[in-house]
Amino acid sequence: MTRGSAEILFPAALLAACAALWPHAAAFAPDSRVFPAVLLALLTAMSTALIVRAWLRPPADAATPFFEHFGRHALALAAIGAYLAVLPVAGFFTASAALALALPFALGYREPARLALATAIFLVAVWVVFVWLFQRPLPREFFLAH
Amino acid sequence: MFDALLHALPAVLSFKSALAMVVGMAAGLVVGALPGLTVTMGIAVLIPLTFGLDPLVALGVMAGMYNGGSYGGAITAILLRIPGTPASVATVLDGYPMAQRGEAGHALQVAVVSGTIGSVISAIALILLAPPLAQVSLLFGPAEYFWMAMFGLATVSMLLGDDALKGLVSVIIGLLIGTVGQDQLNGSERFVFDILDLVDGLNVVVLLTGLYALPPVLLMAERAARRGMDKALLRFDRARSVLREWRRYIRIWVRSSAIGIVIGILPGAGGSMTSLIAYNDAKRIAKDPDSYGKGNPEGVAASECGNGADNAASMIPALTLAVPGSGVAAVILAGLLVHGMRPGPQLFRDNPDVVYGFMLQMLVTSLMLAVMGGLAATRLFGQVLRLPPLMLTPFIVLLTVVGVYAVNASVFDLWAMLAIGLLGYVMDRLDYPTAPAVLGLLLGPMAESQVRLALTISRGDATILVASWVSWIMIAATLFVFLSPVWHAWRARAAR
Amino acid sequence: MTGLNRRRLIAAAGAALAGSALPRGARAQAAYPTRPISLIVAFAAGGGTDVAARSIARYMEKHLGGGASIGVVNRPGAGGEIGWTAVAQAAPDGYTIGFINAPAIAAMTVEKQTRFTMDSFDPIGNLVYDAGILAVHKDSAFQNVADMVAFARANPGALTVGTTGGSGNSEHLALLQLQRLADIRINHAPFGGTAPMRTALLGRHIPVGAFNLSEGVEQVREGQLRVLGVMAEQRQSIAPDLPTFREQGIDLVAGSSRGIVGPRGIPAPILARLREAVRASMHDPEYVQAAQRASIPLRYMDGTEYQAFITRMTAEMRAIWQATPWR
Repeated sequence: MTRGSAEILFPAALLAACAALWPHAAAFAPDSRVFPAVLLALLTAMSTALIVRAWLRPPADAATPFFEHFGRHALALAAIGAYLAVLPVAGFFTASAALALALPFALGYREPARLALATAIFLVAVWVVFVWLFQRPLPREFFLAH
Repeated sequence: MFDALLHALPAVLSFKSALAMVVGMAAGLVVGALPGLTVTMGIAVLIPLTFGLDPLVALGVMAGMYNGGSYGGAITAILLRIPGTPASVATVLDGYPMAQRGEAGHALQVAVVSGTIGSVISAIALILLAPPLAQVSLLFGPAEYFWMAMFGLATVSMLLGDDALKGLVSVIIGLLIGTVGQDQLNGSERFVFDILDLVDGLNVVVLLTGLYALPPVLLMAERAARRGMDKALLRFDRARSVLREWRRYIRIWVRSSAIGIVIGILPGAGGSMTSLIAYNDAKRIAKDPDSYGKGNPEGVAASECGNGADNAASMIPALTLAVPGSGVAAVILAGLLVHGMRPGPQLFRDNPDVVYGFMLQMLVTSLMLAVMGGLAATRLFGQVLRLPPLMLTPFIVLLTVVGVYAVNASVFDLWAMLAIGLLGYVMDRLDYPTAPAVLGLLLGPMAESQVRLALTISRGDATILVASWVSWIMIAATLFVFLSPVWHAWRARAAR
Repeated sequence: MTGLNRRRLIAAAGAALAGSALPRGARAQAAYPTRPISLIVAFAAGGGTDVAARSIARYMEKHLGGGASIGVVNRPGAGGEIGWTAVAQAAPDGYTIGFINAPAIAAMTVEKQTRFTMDSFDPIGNLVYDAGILAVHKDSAFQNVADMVAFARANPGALTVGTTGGSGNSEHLALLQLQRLADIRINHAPFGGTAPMRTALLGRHIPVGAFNLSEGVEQVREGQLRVLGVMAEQRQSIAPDLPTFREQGIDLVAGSSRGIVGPRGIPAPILARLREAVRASMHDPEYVQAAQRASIPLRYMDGTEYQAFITRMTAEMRAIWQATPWR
């Protein structure tokens, strides 16, 4: 995808979002409706203007690719998505250790010893501050569940 | 009053009180630096543990935590582009570009010195002017708060960037996200889609981490750089010491401190907008406003100074009227109550030692910030940047996840953060500024609810909006701020 | 256990600061509790309920004895619904208990489809009952309830009263009751928080404010505000000189409470231990003294009394909803 097409696609996505939200906003109580309705109308108008502008007057860098490296972008995004999906099941520290070790490796980092050390230090620090000191809840480890 | 101050001084400087302030500040730096942990939460956890202790020891911990926490946010904002609270967004704007350029040490130094100056001036205002300043907060009713929000929204004109249309789209996105949740005035639900996690609206931490922390993660992954930042870049550069360049910053410090104090004493306005407004003000008077947002240390100075100045000032209505100006002030009030201090005018009469002691502790901890903040930030946290970005990528993700989860313990929020992260990534790549969206989310709900509240009180009579001189001042300020970029552009054209 | 380690560390630090160690329960009892108990708070850390929970937790640990550990877990969101649902749906084994606020929680079960009812809970004990008040600025023309009611009768709908929550908050519900009892119409202005409402009242932006007695008692003592009436059966011990509505001919009783419940079905011996721990804490002189200094209106109700209170509140909310739905 090029930057030029992204300049049209993003406002188009905003337009679609406005269209999807409009029926909801129209159903709000009278007092609650005014403000969101005005915002949706403004966003619709502005998105249209952005599309028209990008169409008529493409930016100077329209031909440059939108992503710097699509493959690695998709990889990172998929890894984060998988991490969030596994998190509630496997527990925070299990899932986090997996992500912290696997993602850099998949992206081409080849110093496992340093990576493991940094991950261990980081996770211990998180445990000390969040769990031990301030008792913040984190998704429970699968092997501790009862 | 000076008698009372002198009388309180020995207790403040006693070993126990000093230790309490140091412990509080260390804890404050940690909770401030980490997203999802807040000073409000830290103090709440501490209050029950201070039951048996001397009030000044408990208050020393709180004062240290307050001042340490408000600076702590700058550390992760500058180094990792994770603004833990809205107060750090303006610091991100110039601090992160500076760090990327290899000036992390300098950016942190500007932040700590400016934060110290702001909080010292604020603490002095608290000591000298508390009772008279408290009266100012009583002038603000719903109509006046509405104009306050409009004034904040008008400063967006300074944040729009090169392409005003894209900046406005960003504001509207923020305002729309702000409408999600239960309507305060009639209890009806808007854009909730029967999802329980959305009834209270989207937490601002979700928006901040998504919008600011995730996009660089994706970019780092794409670039896959294997080398971290050179150690030398993190050192303080003595030749470029902020204090030697004081002439450059003095105007910003004075103005940002004044802004922080005024906004700080308004209950409900909240410290979150202070730093953005101080930032916009500095940009407005700058000779080279275009360099803001690209790594100008003046931006960091304005944001952190305004942020620091908010702290002690928000204690003014809390101590004198028992009306807390911020969430932190509210928990400190709770702490005072637990120790049998009753906030209000009688506090100054019945417990002068404690109240003036606490004010002095706010001042002392402000000064301590210069030392402890500087050490912690660069010696400890700064080293993070020496990790190869490839290794840092998952760590930032983990940190944002812990932070967001710590707020509501909600898995839904994590997915919302990822979705907003993608939105932020696209906006970054297409040069849509993201700061206007934050301002919209913060001030939109305030503007809407206050104007509707004002009209409810007046039973639909719109003249309530212009009934007081405070409203007129706010209207004039709003117009002035909104029109000043237009005026500058016009003058620049005329000069050509 | 983690909570214990942390507590020991902080207790040691506290002892070093204070020069005295905290008293710990000496009685060692078997079987329960063998692991930390979660005390769910349906609001964010730092709020009034949260501070109350963290305070009582320490005393409940002491009175449960045997090194019991109670960790406060904040589950904020949806006006309390998320946390309260979590309590209702937890395993009834005595390891998850929670704070509820009546009548807010009862009102919620009446106004919307919640995943719990008031029968989903086993009451353990009530801690706080804060009566509602109507207050005016010291320079207001209203000297008492009769003045205000006379004004409202003469100018239907013109009397603006500010409340501290959103629409449907406990003060709003009290105002709806007042409208019915006094046959007046009130213009309700929900401020969404105590601080903004009190500032607006002190700054004379609204003529009358409705909030809880403990939140206004200081300003009343200092003469900045005047209380028209307290919404209680009798005068309250933290402010015995303030007249009630009942004395002034309007039988308005309203307020908000905070208490501890567990999910329904906790085994009787464990429930008894928890109830006893709350009872002992509520009679612990150290706790009572701290609460009194902080002007917290403690009102202990044992399990049975608390259950009756909840049942009565729920019926009341249902009646108000049928007469005047608030949203």
